[in-house]
Amino acid sequence: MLGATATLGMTAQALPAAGKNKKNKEKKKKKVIYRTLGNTGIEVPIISMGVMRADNPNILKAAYEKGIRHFDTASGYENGRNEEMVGNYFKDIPRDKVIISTKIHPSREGMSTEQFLEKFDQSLKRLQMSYVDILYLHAGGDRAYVLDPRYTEALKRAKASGKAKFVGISTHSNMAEVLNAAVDSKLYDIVLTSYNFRLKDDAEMQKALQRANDAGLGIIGMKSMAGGFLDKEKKKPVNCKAALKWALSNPLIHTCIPGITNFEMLKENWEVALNHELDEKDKGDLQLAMNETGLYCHGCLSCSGQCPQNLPIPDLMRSYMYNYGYSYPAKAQTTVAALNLPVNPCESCTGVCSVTCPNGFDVKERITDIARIRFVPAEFLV
Amino acid sequence: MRPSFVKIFTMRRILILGLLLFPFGTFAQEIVFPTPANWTPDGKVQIFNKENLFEHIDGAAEFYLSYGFESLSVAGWTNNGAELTIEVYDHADPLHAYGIYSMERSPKAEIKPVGLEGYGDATTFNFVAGKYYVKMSGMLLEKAAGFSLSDLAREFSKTLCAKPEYPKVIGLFPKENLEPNTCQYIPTEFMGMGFLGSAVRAKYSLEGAEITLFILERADRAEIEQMLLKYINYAEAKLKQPAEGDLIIKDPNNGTVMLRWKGNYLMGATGFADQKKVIPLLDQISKKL
Repeated sequence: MLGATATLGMTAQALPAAGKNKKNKEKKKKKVIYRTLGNTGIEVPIISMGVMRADNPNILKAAYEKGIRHFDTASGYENGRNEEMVGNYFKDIPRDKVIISTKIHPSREGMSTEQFLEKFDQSLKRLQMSYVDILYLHAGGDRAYVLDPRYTEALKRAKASGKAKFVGISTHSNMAEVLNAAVDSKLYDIVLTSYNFRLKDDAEMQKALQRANDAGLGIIGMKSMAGGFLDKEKKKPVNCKAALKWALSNPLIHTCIPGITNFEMLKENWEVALNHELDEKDKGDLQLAMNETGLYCHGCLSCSGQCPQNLPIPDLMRSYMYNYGYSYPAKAQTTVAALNLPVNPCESCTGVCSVTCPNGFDVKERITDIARIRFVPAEFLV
Repeated sequence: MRPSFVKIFTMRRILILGLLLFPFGTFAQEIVFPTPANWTPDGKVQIFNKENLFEHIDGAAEFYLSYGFESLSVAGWTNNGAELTIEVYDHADPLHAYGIYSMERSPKAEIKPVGLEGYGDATTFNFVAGKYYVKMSGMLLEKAAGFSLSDLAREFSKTLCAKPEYPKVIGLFPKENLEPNTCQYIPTEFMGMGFLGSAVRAKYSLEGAEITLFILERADRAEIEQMLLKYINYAEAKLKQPAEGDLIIKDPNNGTVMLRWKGNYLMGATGFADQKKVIPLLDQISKKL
């Protein structure tokens, strides 16, 4: 087990939460830790619930009885059945006692403002509610999507009509760009973003979170367990409680919505609402998880410029991660193909590679491995 | 006879390709999509796997993954301004394919005999056939003269699975008083408890009450026994050693649960006011085992 010295810095970067977002102060009510979702004024326990995979309304009941107040669903979950379950349970709970969010995802081809609002009306019907507290544009991946006038207009109208108290954007890719675009839009109240310990060294993400916080946006974390496993064989589970604590150790994250599918998980997650301090075991487990970087490049760029052949090492390490970390060989191939590498990139270097990686990657071995993907016919890559 | 150069070249190429491909990814099982008359393919078939499914269906991906998702093939067509998209989800086996289909099916759906079963409206049609869950959708279909989404679905389903059959466990549920479209397969954490694992459930209307019946099927009776021991421990029931037969559990989260253990099956019910009404239903299941 790693000692305290080795685990220093394990806490999420707690940049000063100053700025316009004055309401974001942590409060404890009956030992439960509450934070405020930016300038919305919504005060919620730091643990909320992603309902997505819960198929049993008794889990919702148990979560509500424990004290969870924010429940997150989406029109696309179970083809709308998930919203129905949420609606069926909460119809008997006073509406102002819970914070309900849903998400609308325009089809790949895009949709008009009217179609978006029609879809939202269907969600309200399934939820058996006259309004939701937060309406998200689902799955933002770039600035253009966040600012798409068809969807921003729909969100404005939904808010003006009172059917959505607040509007937001959800993102699990290119999060920093999405956060910045949300701030620039002056439209969004909340951003629901992936946030986990794998982003520990992502300075761009931290900067974007701080900027969003300063602008008064509420920030909700998701995917805090980083997939739940450290390896592609799924034999090395993440210490999920520690991972959740890590995300919430950053005061810029106001609440998290772990997907809760069983009562045991509910109990474990709710304990974090009472205490998000990482203990030594948590820190040790997360440090070990960090060390399990066999597949994941943190993009620290410290390898940049080290190669005597001027190979674009960060791009190659990223490609390796696409292929083996995300099992996304098509993306890896596209990335490598754009680099114009020599046939055998490391041919001219004999002996030990002079490039050093802080995560201990064997850079030469990885380059040799991933460079071959250029020669695989694209149709064979899934 | 020595193999020709072409054969040697082909064999070498296959070998090299195989060596190159092994670490890079998995082969997707090719779906032979229909070729509807007067429709023009709109781009290449897109294929998604477990790792990048989220790029196509975002947060819903996790739910699909819990149902044994293997791959998704997506094809599109256009016809005089109309658009058609077919998504074929491969869920590895018929039970999981039925499972994800059953979770997305509305209780109000009007079921059609397409594949195993399906339903739809003017612009969408979903069906399950063998290990495939298929979702078809169209836009401005009125511009495609004479086109019928359900007819295309019917023809396509035959190419995916010639003789689809309901998973055997579904046939164990009594038909009388069964609420339509409520039979669902839960792959993990049934009733929110990890140790219960997978189950099939269905709803029944009995004298104004809604009862949920469920069946858990395991490889052998020892698995059922272990599961029951965990449940008894979880519910802090007084019973020390479960035996085959009927059992009542006061579940702290799910209320009163009636259970019946028979061999490698555990069946039961929740939501009932009078357990006497449940026993005949469990008897009907027991007789089929």
